Amino acid sequence: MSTFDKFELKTNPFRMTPSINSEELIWAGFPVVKGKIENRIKRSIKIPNSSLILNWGEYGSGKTHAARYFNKLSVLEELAGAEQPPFSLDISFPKSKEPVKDIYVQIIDKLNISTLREQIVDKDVDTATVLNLVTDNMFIRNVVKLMFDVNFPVTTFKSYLYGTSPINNSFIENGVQRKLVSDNDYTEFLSTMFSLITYQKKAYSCVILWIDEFEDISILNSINISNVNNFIRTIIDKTPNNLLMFLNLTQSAMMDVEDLGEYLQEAVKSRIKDRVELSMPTKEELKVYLKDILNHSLHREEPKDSFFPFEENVVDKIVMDLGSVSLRRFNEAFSLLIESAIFDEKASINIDYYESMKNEIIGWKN
Amino acid sequence: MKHSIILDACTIINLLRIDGEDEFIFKLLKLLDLNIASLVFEEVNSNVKKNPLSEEQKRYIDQRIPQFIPFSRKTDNIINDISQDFFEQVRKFTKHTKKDNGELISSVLSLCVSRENNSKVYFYTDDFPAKEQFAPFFAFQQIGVIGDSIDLLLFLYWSNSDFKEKSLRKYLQDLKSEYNTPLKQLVNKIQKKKDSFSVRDKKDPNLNENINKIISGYFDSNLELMNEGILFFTKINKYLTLKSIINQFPDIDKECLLSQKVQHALQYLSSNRIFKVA
Repeated sequence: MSTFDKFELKTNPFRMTPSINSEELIWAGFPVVKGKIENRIKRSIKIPNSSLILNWGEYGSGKTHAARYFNKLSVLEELAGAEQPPFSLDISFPKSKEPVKDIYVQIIDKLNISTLREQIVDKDVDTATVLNLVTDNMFIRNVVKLMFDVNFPVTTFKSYLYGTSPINNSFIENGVQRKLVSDNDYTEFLSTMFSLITYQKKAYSCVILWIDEFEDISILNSINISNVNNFIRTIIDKTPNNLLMFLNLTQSAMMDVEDLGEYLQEAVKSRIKDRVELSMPTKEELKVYLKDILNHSLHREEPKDSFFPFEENVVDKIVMDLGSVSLRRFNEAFSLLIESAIFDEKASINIDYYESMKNEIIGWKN
Repeated sequence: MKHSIILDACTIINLLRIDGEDEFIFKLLKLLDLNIASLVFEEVNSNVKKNPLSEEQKRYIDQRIPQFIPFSRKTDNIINDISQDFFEQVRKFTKHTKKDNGELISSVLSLCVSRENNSKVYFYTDDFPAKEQFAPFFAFQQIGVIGDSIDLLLFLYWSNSDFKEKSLRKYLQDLKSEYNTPLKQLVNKIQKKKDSFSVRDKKDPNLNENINKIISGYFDSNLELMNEGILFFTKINKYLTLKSIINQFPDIDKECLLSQKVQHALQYLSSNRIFKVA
């Protein structure tokens, strides 16, 4: 029996961090934002042009959650319908002194080379021919060719990508005479691989790359700011088709969406095709969200048409008391109320109970 | 006439860590009438090892430091110049109970230089608590001005015709990056900790208030507020895990204030310019 049984809940629905387990990632409420992102993904599934989208909102507005949710294979498969699903990756903005290498390593960490190879073979992509079409860099061609050579051991190749494998004869015979060393190498490798796996949308309809915490560009030094700009510009230039990049930007006093312009080169700014705003929830939006999340099959066996265990006037009062704050702040309040009510053995959360708890719930509101 | 400048260890490190291979800042510093206490050299050498600098930055600083030696004065000589007796008075006046450190000796050096040259001097330190500690002494003795790396950078900008505004912005951005990176790392760690709070933790008003000061202070760019939260956890022993997280960032309080200042400088520069003779 779960602690939350009394409220007919399987667990506390208000998580503070997006789940890593994709089964537990759900989308509740906020149909407009969801629709906008879905449309962008659907367009990229169908249309070849590469594009850059900016998702922005205050801290705690759900950007990281959106990135995780739209990286779920089941979600992407549904959006793809009859087409091939996208190949989607979700990384955080690099914080090291070598940001482009950091991005590259994060992507390599997430690559499942065996699955990629199977998909390429399965969909009959002629690697050698396609590589000749997507890049004129002979060395990179050979590297990517080797990556998709089913006879070449996956672990050895992955170790090569990390730069930890020595360049022995098995590499040299395949035209791979050196390691990937520069930002330019990393970017060329990624864009060539992306172009190959999405060629004519055969194996994958597109590549989606989410970069979370993009506001951290403002704390890079000037050289690295320009390195990151060059990376984005080059990867879009060299993957002219089928690449969709989402940049998640937390708006703050330190970094407004308008300030972003100071950190982005013209060439990158001009490639931003759309902005999706994740704004502070209105009372109505919040209520839709709350009903959705409480009654989602992940949290409740038999959905109800109510806010149970919250009484509706409690929800109204919380919105009034907290004012315009982020979804995270509301989640914190709901989470604490539910956990406290279980602890205090309440049958539901009514206005009296909320009032008795109010200081703890909203007491530390800035 | 060139005015005399006294440099503290953190200012030397902060300016050299953002200098490029062209040694632009280093060369400008060497043109100044510099005075550095020998104790400060020792502090630079040991702090370079402790600071979270890249290998490249460490190497760069290590290679440049010996070239400042001609500007150095031995600690004993500095104290002798004002007499041991007066030195004790200085310690008393500035309530300096710790052992002699770079800031104390640099302040005394500032006093010596001002009297020798019969003019006010400029002492640059990025140690804000030290600035507060020695400001009354500077005022009473009419020694001169205490500034920090950002002040010195702005001075170097207007006083050198080949220092372009674009470069100034670049150096300020690089300083911002140096100060803000640890702040962001700290905020991420604190946030992670907060997300794993138990119900009891969540109901602890002091804990939540100060955690929120750190997080919202960072995002609202109110770094003084952030610093309040940080000081709360470092001063009391009740929240040991938070204290140990903060202790991983030994200079975080100074970085908060410097970060705020560099941010303001960058903001001013976006709509104002510093007058300089072309």
